[in-house]
Amino acid sequence: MSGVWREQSVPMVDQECAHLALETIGAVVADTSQAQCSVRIGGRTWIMSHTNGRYAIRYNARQAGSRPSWMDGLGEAYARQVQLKQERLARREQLTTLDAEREAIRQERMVMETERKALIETRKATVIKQAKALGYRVKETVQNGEVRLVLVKSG
Amino acid sequence: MKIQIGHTLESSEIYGPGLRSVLWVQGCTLACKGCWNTQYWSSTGGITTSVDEIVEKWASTPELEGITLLGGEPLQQVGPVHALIRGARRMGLSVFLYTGYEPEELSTDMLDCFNMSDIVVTGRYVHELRNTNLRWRGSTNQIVHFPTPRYQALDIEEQHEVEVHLSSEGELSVYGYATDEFLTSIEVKS
Ligand code: SF4
Repeated sequence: MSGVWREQSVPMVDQECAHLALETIGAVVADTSQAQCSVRIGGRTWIMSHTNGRYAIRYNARQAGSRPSWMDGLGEAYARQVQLKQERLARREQLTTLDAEREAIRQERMVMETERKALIETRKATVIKQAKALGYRVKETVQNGEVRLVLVKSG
Repeated sequence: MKIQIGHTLESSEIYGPGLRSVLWVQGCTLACKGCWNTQYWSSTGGITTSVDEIVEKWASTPELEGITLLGGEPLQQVGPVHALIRGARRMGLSVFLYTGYEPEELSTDMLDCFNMSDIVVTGRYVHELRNTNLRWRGSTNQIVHFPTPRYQALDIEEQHEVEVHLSSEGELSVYGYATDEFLTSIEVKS
């Protein structure tokens, strides 16, 4: 039998996109500060906090049982919001007549993309490091923007 | 025709030969002690989707060698699973089927699915016989069958395999036979 493990948190870099994503899956976001906010969904309240450069809603698997089903849709909803925000910014960048404003928007888009790439690179490096420390050979493939790492150890 | 599914993976390298689309069929009443996939036990969990939609998705996935059906217990939705296997075979994709049943427990329809698959792993997961160094199996009682000639010459090199997927937004998912030590080290398990 083979297992499937999904993360205990959905990592999100952009706060605005995180909030919009949560709203699209039916959550109510409140008490927002830069560091955290509360998220009401499925009759429970969760805390989304900002640590290690990303927003994440954590759950305690032992207390909460299995990963709540709404979390399965959150990653996808967040990716969609990031795409929409990039499109919004690109449109504004095109429409604006002021050079300074255009440059500010361009910078904002770049920062979002840089942060996204940095998160992936950091996480990938961690997985590879831990896998190698445990004696795995690692093969990496990238397909449609998703990284696949195959870890193999002889029996 | 509709099917209840727990999870899908567009392409993977550890669930049989070559690149494969993997589908976790929702629902299992076999209740093996120590089952790793209890989230796929409930027959009402997961999502309802159509067999045609799944087959169309396979047709548009590049470089696929085959499909792998696991669960849950695929043969507890034998009608839709039969249709999926037929759909895959029509496209020339190979079929790898996991079932917790022993061959002698299979009904005629289930046996049809078995016989149309190129590779089948049978048998309950037995926690006392757990061995994560087996290729494609979780416990030593499980048996790999080759009902068709397609992979009969294949040499199964026993090895421990894990696959980590990192989404375009940095979300991690882990598949296969991962140990707690590894899952904890990458913060997928606390
Ligand atoms: S047959 Fe598979 S899914 Fe069902 S209980 Fe056994 S190990 Fe779990």
